[in-house]
Amino acid sequence: MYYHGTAAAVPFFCIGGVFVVKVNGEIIDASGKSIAELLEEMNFPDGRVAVELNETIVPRNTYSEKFLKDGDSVEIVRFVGGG
Amino acid sequence: MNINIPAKEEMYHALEVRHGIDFQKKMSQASAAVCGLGGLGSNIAIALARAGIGRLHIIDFDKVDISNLNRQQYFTDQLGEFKTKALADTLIRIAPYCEIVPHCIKLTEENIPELLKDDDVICEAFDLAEQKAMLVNCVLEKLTDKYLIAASGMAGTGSANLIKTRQITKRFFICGDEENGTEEAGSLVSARVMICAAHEALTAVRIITEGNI
Repeated sequence: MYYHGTAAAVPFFCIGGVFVVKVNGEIIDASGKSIAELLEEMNFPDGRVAVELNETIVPRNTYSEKFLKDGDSVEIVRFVGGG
Repeated sequence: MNINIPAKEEMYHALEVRHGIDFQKKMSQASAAVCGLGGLGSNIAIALARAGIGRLHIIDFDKVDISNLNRQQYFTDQLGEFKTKALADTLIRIAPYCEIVPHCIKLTEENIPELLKDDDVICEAFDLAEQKAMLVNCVLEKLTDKYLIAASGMAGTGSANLIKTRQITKRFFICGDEENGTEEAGSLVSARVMICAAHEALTAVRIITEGNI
């Protein structure tokens, strides 16, 4: 399926043979999931987040179509009220 | 009231002495938008006016209410006035040569791209979480050449040291503790809201004076 070379060269996204992505600095097994699925699983409230995928904003209307790949880096900013 | 307002050159020189020539030149050529003029926005605007920003675009649709006085930079004699007018009156007293552009309007998905097109730095200073997310997503999706500073989490009386500025991407910064909203922590206390506003204002100053806009 994937070949990552020798153990020494294995990047962060392949740990123990499981392919993962980085979400808010934490490495998790979310490869293959859509942004919408990820937000739901992590209990982020609808309409109160901004999502950056590899330093690029993910347009809100593409959350269901955007699927995570091994090695992706996701930053989810959650907004709470007050100002 | 003293009507002898100092000359433009005199005021500019005083700022140069305080801040440095290069700093002041960059500040005087910059334009910042402050979106929402509540506890965050009124404090951000005052900090930027004092720092000698050239153009300040202040946007809100609301009027000054008695419930605002616990944390927002308005006065009892301004109750009932539009916040844009009330704040502009204060800003002019601080920085008479700053170009103040008040817009008494509700920012929406539709009008944001046009209204904010002339601003270098955009400060999100709304109250409601959904509105914050709307503005941030809209700017990041449609105004990709802007610097954006947003706030999340300044309610309650938690430690001031939990409020921080985090850079998300090259042009997007978030200020706050990212946890304590009005739903979670209830109250909004002047000192803590001002700390978050100061984070936003300082980030704007740093972008303007150290960045490449």
